[in-house]
Amino acid sequence: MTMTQTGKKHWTSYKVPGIWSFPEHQKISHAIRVGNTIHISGQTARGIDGEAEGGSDVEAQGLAIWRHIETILSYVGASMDDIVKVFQFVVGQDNFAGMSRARKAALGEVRPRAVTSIVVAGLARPDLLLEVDVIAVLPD
Amino acid sequence: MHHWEEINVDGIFSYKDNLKIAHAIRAGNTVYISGQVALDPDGNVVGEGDVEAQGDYIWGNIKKVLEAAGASMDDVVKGFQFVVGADNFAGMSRARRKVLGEDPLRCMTAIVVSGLVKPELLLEVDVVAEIAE
Repeated sequence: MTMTQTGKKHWTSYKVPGIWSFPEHQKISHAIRVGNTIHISGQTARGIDGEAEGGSDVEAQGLAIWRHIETILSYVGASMDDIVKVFQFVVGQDNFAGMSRARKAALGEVRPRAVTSIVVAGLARPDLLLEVDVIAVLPD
Repeated sequence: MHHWEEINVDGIFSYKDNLKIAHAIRAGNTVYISGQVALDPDGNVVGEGDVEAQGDYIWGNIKKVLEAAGASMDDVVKGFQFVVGADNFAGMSRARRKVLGEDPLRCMTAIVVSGLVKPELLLEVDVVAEIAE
């Protein structure tokens, strides 16, 4: 398991194999678990090669993002069911509907979560249309 | 006595009292701070036109707020960075790495936004910290 622990910390930082990450010098993790709470870094549709999966289709990007999130949570010992809060940052008002379809496909429509969604001016690269960030809480 | 505590620090810009915004809230061992921008205590912009200078000022203030809450930069588990202008991404990251440039890795979410509370402001940063038991 790839952990970047420096010891004696009360939280654990994770880098997840197979998920694109910023260069090492940026010192950005995929996830941190502290107690039962899991924070992640905002995820985009970048595949492991750094290129956006899903082309210019926000729903396809969203589905890729949610797969990445599922991989990250699973690596840390959580599941999609443990997600309590979602932040969605989307480029372009017109992409709201596609963004929501991807979320509902990933999280289901049965069990509501707390969701905050914002139209933003841009993300780290111009081909990225969506960034999603979640908080998950594990059962005791 | 609330089950959470309001943290306010002298020497850091504060919104007028009627806005009812604290610099931070500590709830148990978790500290949430209000998004920090490069305004001096009088409300003047610091580092106009220079996102890295604004970032340096902001992280300096975040450190003070965390210390007032009994935390340190070591306890930061998550950050949100809101930057005006995609061209400012690199300068934003340089400022962050000066204070969070070592292991362990932290969670970070960064977004380009259309604007902040004043047009001269190029960056707003928000963090969550977890204090050891």
